[in-house]
Amino acid sequence: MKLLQVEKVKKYFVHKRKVVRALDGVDLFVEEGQTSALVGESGCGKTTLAKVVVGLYPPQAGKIYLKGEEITSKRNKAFLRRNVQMVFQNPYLSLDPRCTIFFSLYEALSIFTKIKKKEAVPFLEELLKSVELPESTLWRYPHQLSGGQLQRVCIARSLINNPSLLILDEPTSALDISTTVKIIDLLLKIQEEKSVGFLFISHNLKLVKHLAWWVFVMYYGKIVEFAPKDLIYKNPLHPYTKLLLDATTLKLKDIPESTLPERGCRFFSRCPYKKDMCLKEPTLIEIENNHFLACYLKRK
Amino acid sequence: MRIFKELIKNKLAMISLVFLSLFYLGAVFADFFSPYPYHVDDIEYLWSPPTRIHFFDFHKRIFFRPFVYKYKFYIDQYYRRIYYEDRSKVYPIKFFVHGFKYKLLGIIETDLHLFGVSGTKLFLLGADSKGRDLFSRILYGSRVSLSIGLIGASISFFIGILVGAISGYFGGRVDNVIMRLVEMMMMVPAFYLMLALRASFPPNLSSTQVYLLIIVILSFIGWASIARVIRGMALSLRERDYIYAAKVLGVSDFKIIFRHIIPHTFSYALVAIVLSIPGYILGEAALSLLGLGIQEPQASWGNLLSSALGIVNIKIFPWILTPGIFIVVSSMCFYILGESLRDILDPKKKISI
Repeated sequence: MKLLQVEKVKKYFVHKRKVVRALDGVDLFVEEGQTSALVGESGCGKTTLAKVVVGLYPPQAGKIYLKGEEITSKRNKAFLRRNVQMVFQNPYLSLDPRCTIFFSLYEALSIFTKIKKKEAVPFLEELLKSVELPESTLWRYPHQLSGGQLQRVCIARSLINNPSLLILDEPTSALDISTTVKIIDLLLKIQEEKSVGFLFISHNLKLVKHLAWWVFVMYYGKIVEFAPKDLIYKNPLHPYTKLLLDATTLKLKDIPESTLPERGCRFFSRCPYKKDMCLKEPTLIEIENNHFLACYLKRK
Repeated sequence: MRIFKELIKNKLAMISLVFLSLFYLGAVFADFFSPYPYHVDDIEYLWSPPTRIHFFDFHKRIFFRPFVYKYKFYIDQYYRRIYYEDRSKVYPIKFFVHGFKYKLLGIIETDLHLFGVSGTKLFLLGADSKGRDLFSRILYGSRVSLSIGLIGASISFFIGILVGAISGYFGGRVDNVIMRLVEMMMMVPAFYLMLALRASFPPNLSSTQVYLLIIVILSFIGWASIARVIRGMALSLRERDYIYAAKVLGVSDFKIIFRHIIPHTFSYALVAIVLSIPGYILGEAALSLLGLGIQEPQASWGNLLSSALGIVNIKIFPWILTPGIFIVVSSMCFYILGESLRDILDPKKKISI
């Protein structure tokens, strides 16, 4: 059984009388103790998916299962909170600037365990050590810490109640390269120790290489290709995946269009290989062993 | 602490802070500072002008403590009392004298007063139509007028912040219902609402009841506009990542509102509270001026002014306008203080620390 199973989740927003199809039938999964990476350019619905999974947005359609239990219904809210946690994109914004680190952590701790403030101190100090922060950090305010330190605090906070799934919404995009590497190392260490499943969201396919088992490529509310890591990097099939892998050479010159084609393949307007048949939307099909693709290119 | 440091640098704010502290000291220790009780009238001194304080007598001899003469009057051809100083005897002003009994701060029973004269009466700011000392009455009146400002503002802010934060945080239908209610409150002109509310209660209430009633009425009018602003702040605050993080962690909505939404509105609220206090002082003054507020013989700045309603009275006895000066000065001090607080708390200026 998969740890997280997302099935045909839809989430539409209405913006200026236009319907924005942020998620349009997304399928995704995370295996227990492993990492699935969700990759796509900004604005393609990655963060929306993360927020739907943790229950911040209710989905319009589709089902989400955690360890086989449906978590979209209100009945399983406590189960969801206990098992799914999230690390946000910008560490500077995800801690209340008026609270000390101690208070932010204590608040998270006191939700499921009744513990007095004094008794919580040694536990929290230990927790900070496990994310390689000095104990004195406990009494600092967020503005006294650097971005990397703050992100470590956020990771520590999300792990406080031992979740089985951690959603990492571009945890390194606000950090510089050397800090990014350290955070990734920390995450790998945590996964090894606690066997937490990660859903790692990123716009950077190269970063994902270091920690993902499965890679899901998303384009405007749809998964266009997914496969185990090696297959994606050795043999990318979807033109969009190829484009992402080459993103360093800045081939993504053309700006993504806010108005998507009414029907047909979503990548149609930017695709260099488009054909007439692409006006009918392709579905995800297993092209080769474990390699799924939503494109007519490789089909007979 | 930083706020206080910057306040000290601002001269205008410091001056108004000093004035306000003097006023509030005067209100708290009104019995000590006032030479006479607020309700004792004296037929000898109807409409007596402010007593002149002398240092030299009319032989140009210097006295080492200030003194006054006794005021006597004759009736002129318009049947008016004309007061004059009877210079046959000197009455020195004494400090820390024994006078009427009172309880200091409501606990310590004493009869000590800051100053007083024996043998005659000393009216620093003149006397009113019943021969009561205006200075003492202003001091006693400041208890009502100044406390209504503080209490009224606090109550309406308590309600406004709570309602606004709930409305903004939950949004959607809750927000819609609360905001329509707030708009209904704001649609009615405040002064008419105040009069209508006062009219809906019986006129013959005791002065304590009236006092509480005025506070309730003024807070009832004041909370709506605050709720509206706080709601707007809460609407933007709830989109912050740390609120989402708290939600994901499973922190209850109630705790999120009290820990992460309301504290972030405090710096705005502090400024707005200070700026709104004059409104409450003026509101009380308006009600009392019309005879709907604090009743005689109890004093408040508003009902002291009611004797100055006729232009003739103002012309002949100009000193009865002094409560008005107190209202103006205290309101102005609150405005200046509020404006300087706003400048200090302005987030754009924070960079210069």
